[in-house]
Amino acid sequence: MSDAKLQKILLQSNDGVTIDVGKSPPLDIGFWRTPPSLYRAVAERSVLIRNMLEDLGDEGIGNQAIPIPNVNEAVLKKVIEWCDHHRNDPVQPADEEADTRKKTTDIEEWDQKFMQVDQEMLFEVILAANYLDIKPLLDVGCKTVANMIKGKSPEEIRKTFNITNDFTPEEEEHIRRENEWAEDR
Amino acid sequence: MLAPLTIDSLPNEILLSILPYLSTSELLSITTLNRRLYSAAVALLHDRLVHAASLPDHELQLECFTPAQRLFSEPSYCQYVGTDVLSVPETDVRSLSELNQLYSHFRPVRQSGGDSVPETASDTIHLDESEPFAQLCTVVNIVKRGPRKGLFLSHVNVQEGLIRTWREWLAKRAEGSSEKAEEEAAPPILWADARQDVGIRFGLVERRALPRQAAVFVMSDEDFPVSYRLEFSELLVRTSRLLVKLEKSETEELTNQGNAIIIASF
Repeated sequence: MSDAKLQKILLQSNDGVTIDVGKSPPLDIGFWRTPPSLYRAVAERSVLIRNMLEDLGDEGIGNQAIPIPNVNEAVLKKVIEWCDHHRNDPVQPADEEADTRKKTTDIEEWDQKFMQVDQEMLFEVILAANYLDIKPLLDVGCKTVANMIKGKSPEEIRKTFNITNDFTPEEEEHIRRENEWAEDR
Repeated sequence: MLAPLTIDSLPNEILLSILPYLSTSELLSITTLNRRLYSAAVALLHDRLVHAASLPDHELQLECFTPAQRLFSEPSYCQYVGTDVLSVPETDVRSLSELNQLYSHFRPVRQSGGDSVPETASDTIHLDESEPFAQLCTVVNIVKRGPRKGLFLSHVNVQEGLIRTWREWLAKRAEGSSEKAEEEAAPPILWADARQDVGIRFGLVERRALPRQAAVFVMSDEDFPVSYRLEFSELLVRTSRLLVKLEKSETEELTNQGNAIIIASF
């Protein structure tokens, strides 16, 4: 990426807060470590924002904030925190062939810590990553949810995620019988 | 204030990005939670079954032998022929039990050196005097071959069972196969296990010439010793079973990475 002429990148959350990607400390912890020349790399973790910056050009954007209508301030800051940590990650190769097989759920340590949030925030981050088109963050989020399901009984999963059962007891019993096909015997 | 965000309120595309991280048995266990998870899991399981049926990067081995041959039997490799297709149109909601009814079909072949066309596997069984049936031990394994012969990166048993071939059945089949045209209705399947996970269609049943002295003193309606050559024309394996075992094989391969295992089954 050529030297960004853009002085700053401003994002506006759906609750009307303008966040300067280059300045605002993420979640108000510590100080902002990103040198100004790098905040473009941070913002461009999002394919949506990257395309927007490309389409509009530096002049086109000027000092205007880019509205992110689907994401609130807390979540947007959280997402920027992730983008900042991962700003130098190599670009992921375009989606490998759609593989229906089971995938690995290994998550790197920093991301594991990053995802230690309440469920609502976790789902918000997933939705934001989906909307902003940040595939690696979406993957980390989905893996985190998958790991919360793994090793739990259906009852425990129901409790963990507060899932309402819309089956009649008969239907549930029927499914219980027909899902026995993985049992080793 | 909006209702709190839960897994129920996630859009389908995201739900379908989460579920692929679950193993098949985990997918099965979430089917009881609610309708939405049921149909999402079933759709994914169906894709997995179709994908697993052809055993990508793996091979299916069939060993079928009479107990006496246990030490000498050589496994046949099975060529993938196809998998049943759900009769339900794609738009309809599929059910787990429908998926569980699918079978994958294979053709067991003798391992042959060189490029010659592989020959359908067969075996000869022998019924002693007054023996009502002969048993065939049936072992099906999923293997992933290593760089050298006899070296497997993974080796997982799919099913072990016993097939009984009854004297009467053999006699009838032997009669039939000589009279009827070959393309006639598919021969019956003999199952190796009570749950019918693994079965074999015996193509040609051929009576073998008896040793001379055998026929001399026996009455025609008595159970005298006989031999038949059986052709294993088709192996059927319940596709769900294949999927579960294929996943096991992939896990085994991961844990064995770096220290390849040798299994001396030859």
